[in-house]
Amino acid sequence: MTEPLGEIGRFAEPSLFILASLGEGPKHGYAIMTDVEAISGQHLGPGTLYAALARLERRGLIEALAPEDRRRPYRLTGLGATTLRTQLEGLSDFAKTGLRRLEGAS
Amino acid sequence: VSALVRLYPAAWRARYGAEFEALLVERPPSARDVFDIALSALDARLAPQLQSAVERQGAGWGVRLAGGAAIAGGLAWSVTFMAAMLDKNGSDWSLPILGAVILTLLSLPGRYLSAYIRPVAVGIAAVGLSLAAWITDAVPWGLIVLVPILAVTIVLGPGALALAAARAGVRPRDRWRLVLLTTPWPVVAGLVTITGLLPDPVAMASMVVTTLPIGVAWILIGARVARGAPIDGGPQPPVQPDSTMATAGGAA
Repeated sequence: MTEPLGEIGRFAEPSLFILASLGEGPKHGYAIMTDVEAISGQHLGPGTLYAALARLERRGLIEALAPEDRRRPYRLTGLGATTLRTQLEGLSDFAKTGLRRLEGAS
Repeated sequence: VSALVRLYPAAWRARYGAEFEALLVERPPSARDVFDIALSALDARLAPQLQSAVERQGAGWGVRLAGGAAIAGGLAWSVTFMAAMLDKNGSDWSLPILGAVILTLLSLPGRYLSAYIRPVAVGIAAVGLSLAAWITDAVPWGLIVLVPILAVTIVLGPGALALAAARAGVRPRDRWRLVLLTTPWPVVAGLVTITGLLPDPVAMASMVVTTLPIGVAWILIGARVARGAPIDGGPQPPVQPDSTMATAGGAA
């Protein structure tokens, strides 16, 4: 992970999952949890979810929309979208390099 | 569910409490989730992402008190420890060192002190501490007290320093650097001194040189707190709404 997600420490991975989930459009907490579990196969606890949301919001990577009933949707900001794209491109390059090396070794 | 939400600090509950409670009602937490919530509530208290009402007003008296205590504690630690090491008369330095340790520890809750405790209560506590110091001054000090103080400092010192750094907005990576640069070396120097591996003057000098950075670290943290550094050191402020990414689909 690179800045600014890297500085989030142990919440960097859940934060990336959340950003990826919000890349599709605004979602509230429950929708993010279920979506992250669907796309990553990893359980996202409610405490971790909100710890990561607070960090992302503080860093201006996501923003809260007006609450719907008691549920509040979140969406990516421009900075959040740029950060997500950078992170995913970095991961993609990393995966391509790893696969190429595997193929070269076999 | 409400009991779980109450684990979080008031500022966090004011911002996220309603939606978090709605989430827990929609998806009742498992035992694993309860553990996750408890850990995250602790995280919210140790590394708050939201500023309390007092903190939003700027560097209030609680913040300045915390910063001042850390600076005074760091200075007192450096001066008294150096004086104790270099003292050839065998004077008793345990009380000043204890004072320095108490000062640095006082800086830990200081940032949040004004949010929870009234100034009168702090005044009473200060008078109580002074009275306690005056009473205990009559008790013979020396190695009996100095050794436990140093032991507690060595064991709890890195933790206290890391916690203070977290509350001062030092980034996690820098917190580790701070702890690793300051805390193991006095222990190494102490062991070298005790085992007599080095001549006395060199051993004493190594104790002074390795111990000074602890005081300096507390002074730097105190200065950062006193000037109201942002919590957790993240880039601020948030991006304005007009720069948001165009999104599709609406709220799920």
